[in-house]
Amino acid sequence: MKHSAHRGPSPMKEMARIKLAGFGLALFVSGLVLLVYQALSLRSALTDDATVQADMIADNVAASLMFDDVRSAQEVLRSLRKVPYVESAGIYTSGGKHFASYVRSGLLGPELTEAEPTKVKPNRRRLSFDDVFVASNIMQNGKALGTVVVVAGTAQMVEALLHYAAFIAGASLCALWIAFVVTSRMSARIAQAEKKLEYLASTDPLTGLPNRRAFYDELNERLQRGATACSRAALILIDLDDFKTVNDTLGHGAGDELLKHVAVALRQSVRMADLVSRIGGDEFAVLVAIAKEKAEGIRTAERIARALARPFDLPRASIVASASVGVSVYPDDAVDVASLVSSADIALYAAKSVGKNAAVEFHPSMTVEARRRARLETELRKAIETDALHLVYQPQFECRSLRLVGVEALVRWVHPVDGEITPGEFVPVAEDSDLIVALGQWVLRRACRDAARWNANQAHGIQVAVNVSARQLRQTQFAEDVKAVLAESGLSPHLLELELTESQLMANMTAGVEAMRQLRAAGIRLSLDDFGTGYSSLSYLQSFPVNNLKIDRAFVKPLPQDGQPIVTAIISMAHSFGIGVVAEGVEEPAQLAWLDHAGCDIVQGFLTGKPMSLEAITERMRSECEDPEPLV
Amino acid sequence: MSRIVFVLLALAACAGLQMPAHAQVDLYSLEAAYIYNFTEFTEWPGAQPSGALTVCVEPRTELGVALGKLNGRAVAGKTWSVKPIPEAGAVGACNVLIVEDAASSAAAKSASAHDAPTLIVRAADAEAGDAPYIVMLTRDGDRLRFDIDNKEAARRHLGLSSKLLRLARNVI
Repeated sequence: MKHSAHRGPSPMKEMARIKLAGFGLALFVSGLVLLVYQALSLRSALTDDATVQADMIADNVAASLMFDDVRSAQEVLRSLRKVPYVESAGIYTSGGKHFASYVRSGLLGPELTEAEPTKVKPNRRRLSFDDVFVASNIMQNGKALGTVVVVAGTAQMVEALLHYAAFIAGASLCALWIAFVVTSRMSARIAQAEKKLEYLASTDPLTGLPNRRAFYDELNERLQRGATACSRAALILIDLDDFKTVNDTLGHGAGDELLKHVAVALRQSVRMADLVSRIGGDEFAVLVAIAKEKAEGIRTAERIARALARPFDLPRASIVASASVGVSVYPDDAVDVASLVSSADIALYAAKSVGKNAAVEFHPSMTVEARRRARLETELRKAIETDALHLVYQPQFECRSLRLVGVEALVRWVHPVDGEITPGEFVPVAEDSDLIVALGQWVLRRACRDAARWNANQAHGIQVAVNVSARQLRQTQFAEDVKAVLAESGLSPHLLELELTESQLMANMTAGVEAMRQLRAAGIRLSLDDFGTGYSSLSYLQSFPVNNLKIDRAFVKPLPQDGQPIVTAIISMAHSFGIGVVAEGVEEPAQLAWLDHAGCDIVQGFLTGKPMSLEAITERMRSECEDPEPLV
Repeated sequence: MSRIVFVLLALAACAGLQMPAHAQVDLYSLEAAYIYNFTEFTEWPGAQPSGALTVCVEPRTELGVALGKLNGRAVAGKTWSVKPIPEAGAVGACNVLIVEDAASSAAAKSASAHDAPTLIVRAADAEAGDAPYIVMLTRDGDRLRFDIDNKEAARRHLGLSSKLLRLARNVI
C-alpha cells in the first residue's frame, strides 16, 4: 500500500533501538560495578602483599635490631627494591625510635620520610588510590623488638585497573556490537514480516488488488486530501451481473478466472493513479480523480461497463461478464466517505434495477427511493406478520372446453397510508432480503387454505398455482415445508401447482432439481414460468420434472398476426416431452382462437378472467358448476 | 655510646627487665649482652637438660662480673646459669664457654671439651692463642663485631641461626 510509506519508523525497530540502549546502559552499570569491585580487591591484594613483605622484613631484621646492626638491616630492606610496588619502608624500635629505612629511587619530597608507624591505618578495604601503609611487629622469641612500616604505591594497581577497564570496555563494545547485529537482523526480519502482514491484510489474494479495508483506508485518505485541495473524485461501484451463474455452471475455478480478468480489465480502463479494489465476492470499487467536470464520473463508469461487456476468454469457455455500475461524485453527491459509499451503492442498485450492463449516476431522488424501499421492507415484514396482505386469484381455463380448471394465486398489498402497492414494487424489495421466503410461505399457506375450502365439496378439483422464488427453492427444507402446509390445509397435493422460473432453477441447478423431484414425488404439480425468455435449453426440459410450461405473455401479445412459429414450436416441443402448455396474457378472442387451434392446453388472461377476490372466484366456481357453459 | 645503650635497652626489653637509668654502661656489659643474644640464635643438639643453660666464665674478670648479672635470665624457655669454668674433665658440661685468658683457653682445648656441643665464645681482648672458638668478638671502635666459625659449630652439632650468621663480620 502506498499509504504505508507515510508512516513513521516501524514500532519494532524503535523497540530494538530502545532495547539496545537499555542493554548498553546495563553493560555500563555492570562494568562500573566490576571496576569498583576490582579496585577494592586490587587494593586488598596490595595491602596483603605489602603485609607479607613487612612480615618478611620484620622476621629478617630481628637479629639486626638485637645486635644494633643498621647496615645489615638496610641490606635486608634493600631486598625490597625487587618489589615494584613498595615505595618506602622504615624500621622503628619498640621505643618508636627510627632504626633504618628504605626509599625507592626516584621519590621526592615528603614521600622520602612518609613510612611512619603513625600513618598506618587499620581500614584495609576501601576505595582509594592513596598509598597503602602497613606495619608488622618485629618479634624475637615472643618479645616485641620494634615495628616495620611498608608504604606500597598504587601506581601498578591503577595501571592494572586501567587495563581492566579497557578490557571491560572492549568486551562491552563487542557485546553491544553483537547485540546490535542480532537485533538489527531481527528487526529487519520483523519489518519484513510486518510488510508481508500488511500486504496480506490489505490485498485480495485472488486479484492482487487492494481489499475492502485497504480501499476504505485509502478512500478516507484521498477524500481528506481532496477536501483540502478542493478536487473532485468519483466513486464507482461495480457488481457483476451473473457471477453466481458462472460459479454454479462452470465451477469456482472459472469464477475465479473471470474475477482475475475483470480485475485486469478494470485496471486497464482507468489511469495508474486511480484506485481499483475488490471489495467483495463479485463487487469491485474504483476511485477516480476528476480533473474538470462532474460528468467525467459517469463517462468513466460507462467506459468500465463497456469494458466489462465484452467476452472474456476463460480456459473452458468464453463468458460475457456484464456488470452493473453505480457512480457517485465527491463532493457533489456526498461530502463524506459514508454518504459517498451509500450514494454509490444506491446508484448501483438503480443500475441493477434498470437491467444488466448499465451504468447509473447517483441522483438525489434515488435516496428518496432507497428510503422508500427500506420503509417498504419494514412495513412488508409487519404486514406479513399481521396478515395484512391478501390474495387474488386469476382463473385458468382449458382451451378447448373453456372449463375452469385452476387459478393462479397473486398477492396484493393495500398499504394503510400509501394505498395499494403493486407486486412489481414490493416483490423486488422482498427479493432483496430474506423476506421473500416469509412472503412465499405466507402466500402458499393462504392459497392452500383457500383452495382446500373451495375444493371441499367439488366433484372436479380446481387447482391453485403459486409462484415460488429462487430463494425459497434454495431452502433445504422447502419440500418438507410445502408438504407440511398441504397437510395442515388438507389440500390434495395434485391440486397444488408450484410455478418456478427458468432462471431461478439455473441459478441453483442441483438443489433445484432435487427439490423438484421431492415435490413431484409428493404428487405436487410443477410448472415452468416465463418460458422462452431465458436460456430455454432443451436439456433443461429433460432434467426438470415439470407438468406445464407457461408461455410468456410477450409471445402471446403479437398473436395471431405475428410470432406464431415460436408459439407453435413451444407447444409441439412441450407436447412431445409430454408437458402441458399454458398461455398467459390472453386478451383477444382471436388469440384464444389461434391458441386453441395451435393445440394450447390452458389459457389465462384478462379475456377469460381478471384476478379476483376469494369470494368472487368462489362464486365463479359455483356458477360454473351450475352452468358448465363457458361465459366467453 | 648511644648504640651500647640501645643494645642494652633491647636486652632489657628481651629480658623483661627495666634497667636502672643510672646503671653504668660499659663495654663489658655490651659484650655480656651480645653473648646473651648469641644464645638466642643457637640451638643445642639432642635433649638438653631443660630449664638450665650453663654459661661457664671466669667469674673474677670484668666480663665475668657482667655476665654474672645475667644469671637467672630466661632464654627461649631456659634459664641462664652462670658458673665458673670447671675442672678440665667437666668442661663438656658447659653449654657456653667464655674464653678470655690462658686458663679458659686451656679449658676450651681440653679433651673433654673437644667434641662437646659447647658454644665457645672468644671475648674481645682475649689472649687465647690457638684455642678453638665458634664466635669470636672483636672491638671496632666503640662497638663490637664478631666472626663465626660455622664449621666448628657444625662439628659440635650446634645450630647457628642464619640471622646470626648474616650479622657476622666473617664466617669460616
